[in-house]
Amino acid sequence: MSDALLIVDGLSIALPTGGDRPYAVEDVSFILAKGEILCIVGESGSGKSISASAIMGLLPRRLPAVKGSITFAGRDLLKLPKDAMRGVRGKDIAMIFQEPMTALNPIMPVGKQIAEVLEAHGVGDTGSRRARAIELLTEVGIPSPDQTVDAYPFRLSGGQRQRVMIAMALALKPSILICDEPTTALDVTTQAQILALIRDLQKTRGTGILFVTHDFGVVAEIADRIAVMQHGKIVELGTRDVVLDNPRHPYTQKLINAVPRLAMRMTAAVDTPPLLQVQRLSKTYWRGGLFAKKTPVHAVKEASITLARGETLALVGESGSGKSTLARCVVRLIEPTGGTIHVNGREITGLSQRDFKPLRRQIQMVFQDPFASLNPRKRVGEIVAEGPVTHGMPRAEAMEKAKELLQLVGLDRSSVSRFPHEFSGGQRQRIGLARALALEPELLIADEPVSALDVSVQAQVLKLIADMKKRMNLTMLFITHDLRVASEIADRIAVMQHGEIVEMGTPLAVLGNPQHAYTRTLIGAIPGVAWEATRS
Amino acid sequence: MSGFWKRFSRNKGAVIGCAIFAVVVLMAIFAPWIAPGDPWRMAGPPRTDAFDPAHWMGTDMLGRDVWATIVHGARVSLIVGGGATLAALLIGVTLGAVAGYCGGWIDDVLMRFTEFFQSIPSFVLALLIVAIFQPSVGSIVTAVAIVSWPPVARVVRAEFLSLRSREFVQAAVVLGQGTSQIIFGQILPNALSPIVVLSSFMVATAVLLEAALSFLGLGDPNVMSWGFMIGSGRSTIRIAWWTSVFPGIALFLTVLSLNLIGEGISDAMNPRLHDRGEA
Repeated sequence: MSDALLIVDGLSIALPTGGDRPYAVEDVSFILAKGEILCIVGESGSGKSISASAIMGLLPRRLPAVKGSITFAGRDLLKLPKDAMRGVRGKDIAMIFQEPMTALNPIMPVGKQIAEVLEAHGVGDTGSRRARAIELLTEVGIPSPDQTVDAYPFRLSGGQRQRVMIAMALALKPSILICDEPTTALDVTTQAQILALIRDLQKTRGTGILFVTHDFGVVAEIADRIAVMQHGKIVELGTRDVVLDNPRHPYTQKLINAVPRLAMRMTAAVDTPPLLQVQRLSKTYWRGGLFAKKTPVHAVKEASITLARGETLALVGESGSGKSTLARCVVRLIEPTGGTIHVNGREITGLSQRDFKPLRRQIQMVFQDPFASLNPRKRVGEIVAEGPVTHGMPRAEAMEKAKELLQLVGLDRSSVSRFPHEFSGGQRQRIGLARALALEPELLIADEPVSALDVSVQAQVLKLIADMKKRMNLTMLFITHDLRVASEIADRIAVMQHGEIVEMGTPLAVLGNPQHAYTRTLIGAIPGVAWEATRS
Repeated sequence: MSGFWKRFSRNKGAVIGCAIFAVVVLMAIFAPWIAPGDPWRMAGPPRTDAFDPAHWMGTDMLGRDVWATIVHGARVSLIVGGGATLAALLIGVTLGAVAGYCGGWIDDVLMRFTEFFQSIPSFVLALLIVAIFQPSVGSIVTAVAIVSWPPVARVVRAEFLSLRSREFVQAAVVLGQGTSQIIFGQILPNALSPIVVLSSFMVATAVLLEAALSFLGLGDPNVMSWGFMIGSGRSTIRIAWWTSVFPGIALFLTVLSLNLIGEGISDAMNPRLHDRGEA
């Protein structure tokens, strides 16, 4: 290929001895052509980010590249001395990272950070660098760039910070841009904008883009070609249409099948008596301190929802929409500032902690973060048995119950004597579910229970939650930012924006015929909607 | 945990520290058998030179055997070091945990209280307490504990502040566990490593404080202490150097060993601190 920008040939990166496999990346070969977007897709631990770091020469010393070559402009980057590599980095190959919140220096104006890139490579003088920074900020679509250039990162939103990162990366007109999960930390609507921006830049500048992601929706949206990685190897490599619509490798097939679909299901109305009634619930925080004027922040504003017994309601919204706050008010982790919550006809707002304790059995919660939600110092059996023990069950009986529950959620009975760190993310979410179910609740609140999981694991855990719900006749409030997941699991969907519920209805109604402008924006921003339509 | 011991035992300094400290502990336990008799009593002619066959560390101006005073002095050092540290931990952990977990005005009140103690020069405060309550092992332990708990409270509070927002703590609330159960059952076990490291350094500081108090003549008059020996030998250091030098070495080695152990524990508990340079 004459327009090949970067040739990775037989790259192998060793893992330290004692790892679960000898190589982090094994015999990886691909070519990145001028003006194309190559997506590397894989689940966590597949070696996709390590491959990207290798190209930038950012491998940690523990992970040496032992075989292969990375050829750029006739030179093998792996053999390049440090000084020469520094000249390539940023100038010829630039990179943007996942976390826009931490990737920028918090105590330096963004314009100066962009100018720094130019300075490091000896381009221009102070005045011209500033002008160039403003120019770049304009190009990446930052509002009022001549003011933003002097703003500190904390003034900018996540999406804007990621735009600044992109501006920095593009400052020296690199011929290759490496994007390591650049939109994973962003909301869908912001993600859609950033993806459009990357697409645009690639078209106008002809930059070759290596795009690392775990999200098939994003891949469908942006890729020209796709490389699928599993256990450090590329198992499938081909053009977008071939890999997405006609995957040949069983792993690719499994991954694509696991991607949840936007299911416009017609669901029957559940006409049992209501279990949970939330009426005009509000939570207002006051920002400002001793000397600053206090301003109210409405996290939840007069939100009302009703859950019939046995029903699943998905609460959908972007970060900061108040969906988690609402759920935490229901379990009284947060005290609401207005409105009422009734469970089984009994008002729980205003109950003292002691009066509320017996009711806690009825309302349980599954948390988002599989790593933070289990106490690392406790054995799994103890974690699951804790709830019943707290509510007066003898320890031995509770342990027996824990074993049964662990088996029920698909783990071994012997798991009781192991510690959380011995389990994978998906397994930990199963433990978290077992802990919630141990109290035999009527209402289960699931706060983004699958958003930290890989797509194939996500599908399994979702299925398990649905199974358990049916088996134990649970009523469920399911919080998610992912409309696809919501549509698959819920009887009804409620969309939240700025603390208010803007739309509520069956998946068919909300997704098929959205009434509110925000719902339409959300649906339009789902990555890979076009591909979705072609899926069988 | 086996990984912890492996890393700890690979640390040369820590192992040496453990060995020295073990010797001190053995001396304290078996003092009546190692150096029989009352260390305050005259054991030989006054000012016997060091390395004398009968008194290999010599005797002081009153004929007391320096070796016997070192062996018996180990006891009070360890009692004060251990006792004061335990008491300081009790105060510091409780206040820090409550402040960090509850936050709000409780945190404000407790932290201002802590700062009040931190703003008083700790040695002066200790001197004052011992002087008011008559010098005794009990009052020294109390004084040392009162001046050394504030750092514990601050460290524990900081740990609790970051741990209390973790989801496993919220999960415990949702399960219906009470506040004390969450503080001591859920969060405290996760905050132990910095507390353990800090307490080994606190023992060392307490030993030094006790020696300093005794040096100034505010030690327990019934108990032999290294600080007292250094103090009483001070005036004759040019004619009988051994009376202050040997207790000084004993003090130095004990404090050194505790610091080495503390460093070792700290490194073994946070192995990643040392990998950082590689990444």
